[in-house]
Amino acid sequence: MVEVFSRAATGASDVSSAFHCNSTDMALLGTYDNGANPHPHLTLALTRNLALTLTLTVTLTLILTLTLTLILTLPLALPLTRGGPAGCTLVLSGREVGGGTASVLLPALSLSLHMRVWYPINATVSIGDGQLHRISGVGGLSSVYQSTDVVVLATFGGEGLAPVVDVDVSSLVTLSVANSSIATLDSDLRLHGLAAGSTILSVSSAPMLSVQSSITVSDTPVELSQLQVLLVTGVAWQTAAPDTVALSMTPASGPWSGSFGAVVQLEQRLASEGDVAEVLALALTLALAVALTRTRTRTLTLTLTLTWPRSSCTPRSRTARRSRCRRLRLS
Amino acid sequence: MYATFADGASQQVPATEVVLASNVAGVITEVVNQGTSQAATMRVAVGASAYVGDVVTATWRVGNETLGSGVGWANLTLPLPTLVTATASQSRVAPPDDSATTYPIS
Repeated sequence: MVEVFSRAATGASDVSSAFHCNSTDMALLGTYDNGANPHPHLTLALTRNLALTLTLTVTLTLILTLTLTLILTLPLALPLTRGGPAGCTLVLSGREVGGGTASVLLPALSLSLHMRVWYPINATVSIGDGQLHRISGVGGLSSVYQSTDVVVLATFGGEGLAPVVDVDVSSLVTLSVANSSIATLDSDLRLHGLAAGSTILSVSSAPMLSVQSSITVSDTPVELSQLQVLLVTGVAWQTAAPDTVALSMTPASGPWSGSFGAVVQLEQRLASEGDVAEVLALALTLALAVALTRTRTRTLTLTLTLTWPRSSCTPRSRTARRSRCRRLRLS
Repeated sequence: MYATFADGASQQVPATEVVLASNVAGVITEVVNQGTSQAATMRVAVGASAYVGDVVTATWRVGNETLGSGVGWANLTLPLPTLVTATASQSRVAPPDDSATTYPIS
């Protein structure tokens, strides 16, 4: 989630006892602790050779950016001592309610670590279908109700920070259904209707954000219009995704963003005994499903958009991986 | 698998609730385990002939209730062989009790 820039200095002195941490706005970032900390979410340490290292194990719903400015005016007369690296730890508890920019100052080295912290400022529960009907089966009205997918999306921001919207935080929160006799939520965040009525789906793990959505389960029957079945032996790029994606930043303080298009072709080659095809069914709009049936064309056009905060995420980051718009589902 | 409803909604159908059936003799349907999930597949059977059309039917069934079904189209090209080459694994053959099977003849 965080990309860290570090720069090694050329000195060889241990300054473990010669610095302390300070910040211009610790209330913004939480608490800090000189020395060992049992909860090292973010650790800044100076080692013997003055290489500045940062170890980050943030698992909170926070987006951070770090810009490190190192102005080394190290006096050579600093005492040389041996021992392990000293610690200067910033702790982000996840209970912070504001965002913005703060600095950690190490006056002895004239070194400052500027930090910008995006916090979740609001969130929404996105439900694919807010009204679940009873399914009309082949033999009449069945006892089965529709189900739907649930996603929790958050907007991260803070004072002076360009907001980052629609970050999928579903895996970071806990959802609960007020009346479990009407609907139930499974481990894949799929909401199943159980009986007619209304209930509330809410995020129970973030009490500071009032995030909830209503669900209605209805006995009004709905007919199954289509089970689209495709037999696929392979998938190939018709227009391949690029190896690299150029990012731009608008406005200047905003998040990085980039997009690209790609086209995949579903293949079907059944030319000899023993050939195997996978049976797939795609979630398609009704109009597109009809077009596919008539033309036998199996081409899907994808437009993917990547967005992550400025210098805070790599494409391997959790935020980018779980970005909702990057999801490609073929089954 | 996904189902589309008349109200415009669609939903995922668990593989455990889908029953596959073959519509033609040259196709075998099966459900294979892939770790924690299952995948439905069709396989071209031995002796199958070329065929174009709806070869499998997928039925969504929950308990004893059938909610709907769909068909899958395939083109089994199965080109006819144009040349058969036979090769013997042994260049000389003799009855088992024949002395010709012993060294140094064999």
